Parts: sequence; structure tokens; C-alpha cells
Amino acid sequence: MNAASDNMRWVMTNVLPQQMGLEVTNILYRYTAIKDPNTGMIVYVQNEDAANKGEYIFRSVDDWTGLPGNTIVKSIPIDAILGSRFGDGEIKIEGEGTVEDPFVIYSYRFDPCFNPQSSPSCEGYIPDIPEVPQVENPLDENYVQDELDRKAVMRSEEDEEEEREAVEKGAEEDPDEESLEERLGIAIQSALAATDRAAEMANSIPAAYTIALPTTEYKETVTISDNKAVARALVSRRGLGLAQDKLHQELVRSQFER
Amino acid sequence: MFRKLLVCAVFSASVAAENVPINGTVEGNCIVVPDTSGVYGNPSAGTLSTAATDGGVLPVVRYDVVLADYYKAVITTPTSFTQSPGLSDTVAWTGSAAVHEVSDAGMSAYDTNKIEYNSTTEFDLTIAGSTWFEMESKAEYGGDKPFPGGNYVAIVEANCIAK
Repeated sequence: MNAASDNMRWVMTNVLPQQMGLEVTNILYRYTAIKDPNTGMIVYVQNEDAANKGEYIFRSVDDWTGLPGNTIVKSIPIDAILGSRFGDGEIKIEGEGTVEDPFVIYSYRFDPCFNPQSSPSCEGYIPDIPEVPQVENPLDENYVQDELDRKAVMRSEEDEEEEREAVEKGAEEDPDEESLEERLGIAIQSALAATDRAAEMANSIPAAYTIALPTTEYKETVTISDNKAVARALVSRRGLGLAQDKLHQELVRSQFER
Repeated sequence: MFRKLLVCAVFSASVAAENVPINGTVEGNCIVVPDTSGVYGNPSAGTLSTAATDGGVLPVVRYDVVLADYYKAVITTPTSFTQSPGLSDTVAWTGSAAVHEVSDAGMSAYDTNKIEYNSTTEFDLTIAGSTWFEMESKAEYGGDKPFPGGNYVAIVEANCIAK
């Protein structure tokens, strides 16, 4: 959209969309200067700074002084300035000469994350915390509180009465005598426990440790009259062992042969 | 003898020089970009002209200069057709080049300071930025004869030459 299509002054609200996060990135303008080469002429293409009155957020100067007129085309990159900063724009002429066919184009873009809350993908986005519903505590109800207060008063009265009774009862008995009995009971209890521990230890030691042996010398008391009988028995037992070995070996071999 | 030769060969290999390349890239600091193709109008039977008043379109070429005062634009308007029906007579050529648009007001002085010779125009590109040049070309057939019917093509040569 040519901002200068109708006039040498233009209102930016009619040029830029009123969108939050809109940033101007480039301004391109073209006009033809009509002038005598010998005269002075300065042309300003500018925008007021909406945030600072009397200052300009954009200003480009073309000095045609001493030059023949011509068509000028300029494309000026802007460092992403917010559109809301751009106040009214104009082509202003100082000196002798005129401007024909003015053409001013603003290039802009939207910053979708100008408000970080607009999308979860924006940096600085804070997830919404759901509102915790207000739950009324039934104990806060007046009638419940009254009832609780009444019970509390009754309980304190009961406690006072019990304490009073205990004091009266305690005055009748001798507190020192009771105390002595308690102390004696504790002493007897610990003595019994010590005795039980000694008995347990005694039971855990084998009797052989404590019983004295009748003698430390033991002589041969059995004599074998027939040595051959013993030898036969030994051979017979050995023979049985060899037979078992042989049978075992046969079994193993048969396993391998299979 | 053989051993000696072998040793000599090994020795000579150990002192052989290596070529180490040094690479560098220079960005083009003057770029010529065709902007608008011209069209010949045919205001009379024996005339072809790019002038708007003759029904033609002026060709436009853009020069983008990064470094100021290092280059000059040399534009040569046509002196012959590169494509045309058979022409039995001579063609009289006239042409010119002029600044069409500028990206800096100071460039409008290029027209004042241009140098013209034969069919060539030179512009001293003293300011960095873009300058658009338009060329006018006119061909008149000899003896006031009409141009034969057919397609006519002529070329404008635009060069950027370091000063």
C-alpha cells in the first residue's frame, strides 16, 4: 500500500494494521524531484516518533541542491521497530522544487510471541494454573462452632473436676510410702533379670566343660584272637567295592557307546 | 651404482617442494542487473525506435555498486541487429543512455558528467548504491525504405569496468 498515494502527509493508523506485535522492517520510497539544477532543494521522508513528541522514528534526507532532478528509489532496512512507534508520516520539501509521483511502502511483520502467553511455543510462556475451587470448611459454620465451644467448656469443667478429685485422693494416701514401694519393685526386678541372664549363660555351655573326667589315660581293653578273620572281612569288603567299581565303569562305558 | 642412484632418488624426494595454495574470494562489488527489456516501436515503415513516443519501451539496466568511486558503467547501444530478416540496404543507428532512477540524490549528477563517444556512454559511479540507466535506440532503414516484415532483435551491452 502506497502511504503517499493521496497526500504528502499520511496517518499511520491508515497504513499499518493495528496489531499488537507488529514490527516495521523496511521502508521503500520513490519520488521524482522536479527542480532547476542550480537551486537548492532538500527532501525529507519521515515519520514522527509516537513515543517522543518532536522527534522522528524514521527520517531519510535527500539533498538535491545543485543537482538536476531525477527519480530516486530508496530501500531502507529498519531494525524491527514496533509499528506503534510510527507516528504520522510525510514528505517534506525545503527549498525550491517539487516532488512528483511519491511512493512510500512500509514492510512489516508480526511477532507472534510479542505476548509470550499467546502460544505455549513462545519463550517465556507461563502455563496457566487452574483456579483452586473455594471449599467451605463445614467446621466454620456458626452452629458447629457453637457446639464445639460448648463441648470444650464442658470438657474443661470435667477435667478440672477430675484433677480436683485426684488431689483430694492423693492427700489421703502417703505419697512417700508409694514412692518407696515403687523403688523397691524396680530394684527387685533388675536383680531377677541378672539371675535369669546368668542361668541362661550356664545352660548354653556344654556339660563336658564343667564335669571332671575320671582319668586321662585309656588303655586297650579288647583283643582280637583271630587276625585272619579280620583280614578276610577286609578283603571281602574290598572285593565288594571293586565289584561296585566295575559295575559303575560298565555303566559309564555303555553310556558312551550309545 | 644402483644403491647410489636409489639413495639419490630418496634424497631428492625428501627436498621436493610442495605447493601450498592460498584461497581467497572477492565478492563482486559491481553488479549489472537487467531490469526491463526494451521493445522497438515502429512509428514509420522505415523506423524502429524504443522511445515511448514511438510506441516502444526503453530498456533499463541496474548497476549495484558496493564500493564508491571504483567503477564506471559503460553502456553501448546497438549498431546492428542480431536477428532480422534479410536487409538489402544500410541501417542508420542512433542511441543514448541516461540515468533513469537513483538510490541517492547525488547520482543524478551522473548524467551531467557522462562521456559519450560513438555509440558508447560512460558513467562514473562515484556513489555506492543502485543506479538505473535507460537506453534509447533508433534504427532507420536506408533510402527511406520500409523494413522488411519479420522479427528484429538488437542487443545493448552494459559493462561495469573498474577504473
